[in-house]
Amino acid sequence: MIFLLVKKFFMRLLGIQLDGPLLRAAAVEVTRRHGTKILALRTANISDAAVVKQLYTDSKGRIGSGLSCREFIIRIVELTIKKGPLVEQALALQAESVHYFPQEEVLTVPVLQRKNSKALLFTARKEAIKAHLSEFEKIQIEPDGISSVCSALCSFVQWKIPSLQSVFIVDLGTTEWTCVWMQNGSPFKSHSIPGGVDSLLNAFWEDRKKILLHKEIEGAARQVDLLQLKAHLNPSLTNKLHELRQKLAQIIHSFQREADLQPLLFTGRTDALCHLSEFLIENVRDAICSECKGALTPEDQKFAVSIGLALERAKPGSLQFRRGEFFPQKNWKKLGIYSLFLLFFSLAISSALFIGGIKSTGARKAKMLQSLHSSLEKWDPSIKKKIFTGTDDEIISRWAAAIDAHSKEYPYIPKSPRVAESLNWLTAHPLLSQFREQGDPIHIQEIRYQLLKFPKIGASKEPYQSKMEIEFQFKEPIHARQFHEALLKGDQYVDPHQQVDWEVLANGYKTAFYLRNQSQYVF
Amino acid sequence: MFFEKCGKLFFLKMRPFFFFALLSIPILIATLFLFMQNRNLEELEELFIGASRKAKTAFERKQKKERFLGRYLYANPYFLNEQIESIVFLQREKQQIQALFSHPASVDKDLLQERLAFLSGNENRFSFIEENIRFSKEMKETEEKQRYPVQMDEDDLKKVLSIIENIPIGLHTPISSSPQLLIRELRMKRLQTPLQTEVFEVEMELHKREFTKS
Repeated sequence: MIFLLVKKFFMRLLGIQLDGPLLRAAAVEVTRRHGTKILALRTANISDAAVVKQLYTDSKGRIGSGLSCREFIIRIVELTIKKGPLVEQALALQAESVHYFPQEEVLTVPVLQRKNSKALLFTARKEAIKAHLSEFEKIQIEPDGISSVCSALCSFVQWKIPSLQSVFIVDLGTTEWTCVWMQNGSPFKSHSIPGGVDSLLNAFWEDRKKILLHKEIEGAARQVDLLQLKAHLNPSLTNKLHELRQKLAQIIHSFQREADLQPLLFTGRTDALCHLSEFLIENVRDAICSECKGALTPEDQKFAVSIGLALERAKPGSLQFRRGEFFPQKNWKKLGIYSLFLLFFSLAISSALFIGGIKSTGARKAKMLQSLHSSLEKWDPSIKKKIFTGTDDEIISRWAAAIDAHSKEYPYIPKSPRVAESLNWLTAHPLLSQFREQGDPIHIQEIRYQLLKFPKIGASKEPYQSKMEIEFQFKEPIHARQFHEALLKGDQYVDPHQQVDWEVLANGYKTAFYLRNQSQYVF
Repeated sequence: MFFEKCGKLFFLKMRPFFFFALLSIPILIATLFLFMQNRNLEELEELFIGASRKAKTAFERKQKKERFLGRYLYANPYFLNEQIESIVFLQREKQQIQALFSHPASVDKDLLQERLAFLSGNENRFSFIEENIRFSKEMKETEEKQRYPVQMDEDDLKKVLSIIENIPIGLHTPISSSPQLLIRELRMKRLQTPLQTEVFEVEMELHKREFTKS
């Protein structure tokens, strides 16, 4: 996961182009903050193994290479299904109809262009991919990704001149020239012209064989101004130049028929001969709208393909021929290591969560038990032995059950006021004491105390309810009335919420009222 | 070779989705385990907090119950016979009548004789009959009904209530071997004796609980 994140924010890539006997490499760093940065551009002779290896080991990034345009075909298909896993299946079906090769001999790679609802199908022969890989194997390099030269050129142009969305690109390679029609940032059509700059140099050497050594050709060719070239002095070169210019013009005109006028951009070895691009453009002036001259430095032009190949590797969903049987073995190893690391990491996190969880739970339970221990020590040490057996959960559950068992008051401890208390209340009643002091004491003739309801066997939840009836006399009727009012008002013993009966008898009064329950008493 | 095989196994033979699902399984299981454990712990903590809140009250109730049962567990099964039905009432009046009876100036000696006989005999003593005896694992309940009313003065009443209701009243103290006695009904009527003294005619029904050790 960390690796993927690092990859997302920071990538080092090495684009390698095999340009005839030369190897052009571009080390590129792509970061989210600083964008794309060229770290190094190197040209080496393929035979110079030490330099090549140095390039390879220094980069420590993913390596990208590209197939030549002659080794694959590009077809454009319309996408009827735009999202979901069915897109790939639909493309695989369409891929079979875009070429005439036996299916087992080719590899078709789709590159989706979702905003245009189109897909580019790159079909390459497997033999070509194998040959490409074996070429790299010879120089002890195993590319992580194989793209194409035309895609690389498009990626390069998009990075270098983002405003240029549609353009004809001509890359003047050493052994072949590549012509690409880029539309909306993607290769639309491509052609290659075999021969390349090497064929021009060979022709030039043919003309100057008598006065120049072969190794001096390149330097001398740079001095030859093609705009002032004398055909009779350089017959071979002139012929070759005209032949290549003719082929280039044919390709550009074929592009122009479909694309209308587009700008033209030269990359590659434009400095191999003086005014080479100006010479080549002569025949296609009517097919282009402008020449992007000065947009690129000579260095950019020379390394356009290798930079583009590196950029291709940074682009998600870019062309990748290393799939299926061509998937790099070292990547399987890397994937194996990463997947095992991730599995181990996942197991480690899970174990940490598991152990952490158990420890945290244990600590919380221990805290509860400690609290319970001290609580029981304080309140009820007698039940400690009974409770502290088994697991922590059992201890707490047992304790909670013990608490629950005593959550209600024991029903057989009486709550109703006793007779003695009721009589004492009557004797000490403040109003009756006041009447006594005024010379009119209450004269009680009869008292009846009844315990109407109380818990018993078979009805342990029955509440306590008691009632008192008094027959009495007062000299002053007003005192009886006041006593009645006091009873209606209620107090510690009289329950005013229950009925208070009052009856006037021939020789006194009779009242009946319910007694208010008191707190439980034991003694 | 091993790593290559692993890489191919996870990304060629199975879809990457399954590999990432495989990666997440242990974490999901651990998370689920933690979630379940946390939920159990929260329930346990809730139980603990609830129980802690009720602990003091429950302990007080438990103690009260233990004290209550400790008080009544070893009650005398013949308590009513031995301690209640044996009480002789109106002793002061009896002494007064005896003094009057031996006085040479006293008149209406027949009346005094009759009153003295009433006070000395068994007619003015408690006598209960047992009804509705019920048993449970915890106790035996009996309803005790007074056969006839008895007469007593205020001091006698205090004594009786002190013994029955297990409460100290004045100089009278409860008896420790008593069973739990609840007065279900008490009728108390003020009466004028032939000797013009005031007494209470008392009639009561008791509910007796005898607790057993379960």
